Amino acid sequence: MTLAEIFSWPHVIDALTLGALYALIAVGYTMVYGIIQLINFAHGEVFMVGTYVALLAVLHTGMPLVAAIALAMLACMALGLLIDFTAYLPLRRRSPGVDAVSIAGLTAFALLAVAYFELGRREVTGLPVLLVTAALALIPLGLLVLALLSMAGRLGRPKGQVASDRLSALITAIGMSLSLQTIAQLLWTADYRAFPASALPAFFGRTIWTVGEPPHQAAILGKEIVIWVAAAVLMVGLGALVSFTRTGRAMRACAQDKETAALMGVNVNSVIGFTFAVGSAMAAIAGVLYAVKVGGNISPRMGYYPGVIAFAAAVLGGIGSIRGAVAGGLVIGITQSVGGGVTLWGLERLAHGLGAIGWEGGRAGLERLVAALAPRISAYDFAFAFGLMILVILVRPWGLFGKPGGKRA
Amino acid sequence: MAEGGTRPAALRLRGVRSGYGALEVLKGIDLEVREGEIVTLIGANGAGKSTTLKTISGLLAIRAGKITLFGTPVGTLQPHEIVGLGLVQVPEGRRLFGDMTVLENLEMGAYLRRDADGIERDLEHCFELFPRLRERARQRAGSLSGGEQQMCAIARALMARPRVLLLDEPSLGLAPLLVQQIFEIIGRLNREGVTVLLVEQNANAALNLAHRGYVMETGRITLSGPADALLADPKVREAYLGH
Ligand SMILES: Nc1ncnc2c1ncn2[C@@H]1O[C@H](COP(=O)(O)OP(=O)(O)OP(=O)(O)O)[C@@H](O)[C@H]1O
Ligand SMILES: [Mg+2]
Repeated sequence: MTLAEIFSWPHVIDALTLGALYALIAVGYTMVYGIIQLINFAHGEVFMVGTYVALLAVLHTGMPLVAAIALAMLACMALGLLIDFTAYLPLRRRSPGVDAVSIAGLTAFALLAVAYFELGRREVTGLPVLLVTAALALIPLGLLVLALLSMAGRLGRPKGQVASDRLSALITAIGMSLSLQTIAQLLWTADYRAFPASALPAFFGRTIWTVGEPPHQAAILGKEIVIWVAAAVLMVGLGALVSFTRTGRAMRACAQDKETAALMGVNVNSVIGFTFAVGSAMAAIAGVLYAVKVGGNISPRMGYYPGVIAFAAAVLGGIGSIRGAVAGGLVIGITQSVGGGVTLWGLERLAHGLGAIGWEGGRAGLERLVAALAPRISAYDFAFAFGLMILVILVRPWGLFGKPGGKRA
Repeated sequence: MAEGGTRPAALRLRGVRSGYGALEVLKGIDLEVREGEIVTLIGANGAGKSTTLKTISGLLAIRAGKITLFGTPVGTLQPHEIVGLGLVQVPEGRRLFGDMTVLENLEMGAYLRRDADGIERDLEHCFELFPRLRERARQRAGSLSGGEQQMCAIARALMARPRVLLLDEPSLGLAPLLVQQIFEIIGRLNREGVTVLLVEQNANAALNLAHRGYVMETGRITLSGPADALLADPKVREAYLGH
């Protein structure tokens, strides 16, 4: 294998498309982290719910994909706000009671989610499932009541205190993620689904350009161009929003110092809610486009890998930075596309070198390893992405665009 | 200086208690600032002066008592709502948004305002008061000197068009000449109609500027009166003026 083969057009196009999608997801993690230092593990589930909303809209109403995406964005904005409102806001309004109760509630929730998956696998039906379902339905209701109570000041929260125990928030986020997956499975089953070809605009599958020389020629399809353009426009728009608008300034102010932002008249919790909503809308678009690219991947767990990978992209780029999300997304996309090829290439070179210095045994061993790895290395594409993230964290913990010890919106 | 006399109260605290978590810092504060007055609140480190201002601004919940602003109860309002009613604080330690430019900081001050023309005029006014800020407008606020940062923090608060201005130790860490300048500007703002509650370590300068003063010790008001009376009070002279 030569480097030219590894960095051939099909891989480059794949890398750019993946990178664009990861950037769209990563921006949701990075903006929320920038403002409340919370890793919103439920973000991958927002991505998933957005995809389902668009899918169901297309299937049941026959509306055009663009309209379905718009609907999914609205639904996810509402979901993002709801997640913040029920799970994270009570923690920001720290009062020990609410903290304990919501952690207990969400832990129970997570346990139930696991139990439910187990039951599902053994195909148990009847009473156990009914009980679990009822419990699942009751807990979010209970949390909502708690959140409302704490908001009404009935649980004795210190006003305006925005600090919260990071660990509580993290556990809550994981619980939220599992809960949403479980609810999705209850509503929509665990079957894999896809947008029907008839629902997608015809030019999505059409070849717009052909690049490269045979045999490494590649077709650039309409859907790829749509993904690139959408990602570019959205990221530039988002950057402009944060840099140049009044709301964007308020977001940056809250990211730096919430107490002082409040003293300027900023409603800090609204700004945080807005941040969740914007990130969630981006996730909805990314989810639909991801499903269009991959095809047949729509399921309650579809948000997990893209979510985790995009989180890695956000960390790599420098968490809190929008430019970092773009850079991190692209770098991760490239790594995922060519990481396996580059590794094989490196091992081949090494085998060659061993041969050159006369160690035939080493050369033969390495060549056998390469031969064994070659057919299945593409299954490890995520491992290369994470490997790169770990490397970057070791060398430059604040990421490519972050600031040492700092945080940004 | 002239006594505020019969003018109506702009800000009034009655039996206000508040604190942090299990720690009660304010143990029943009574305090009043009448319209057009400069009132100073002095006291030793840790007496609870900043806590008082944070409670007035709504950053800390009141646990008992009552706070009214121009007669409206504000004790249960959120900080941004209180700013909307015209009470603005310059917090201790300036607390600028260091990653933003000076201009962006000033724009943050005007966050709740929608009158573009008025904002433009007030910006001009701030640049007149603090010519240094005009030169530094496009510079990161974090890169300003201490004195320039204090000017920026005061200007930022002015951009909100405050009716009542709370200042928490505006002279802290500044050279004497700059302190004098800051105090002159506070006097000028007051003559332009802004009611001022000034927390200060520099009791001498504060009492010379203010109409009235309050002395605070471990969460309680222990002494209050016209500024010249406090300046002459032997207890105040010994504890806070170093005589
Ligand atoms: N965030 C906080 N959490 C817990 N306790 C606090 C906090 N801030 C202040 N305190 C405590 O409250 C008391 C009063 O503090 P405060 O800052 O109001 O004093 P101060 O009069 O402003 O003092 P200084 O002149 O030093 O600014 C102090 O004992 C302090 O330790
Ligand atoms: Mg203080």
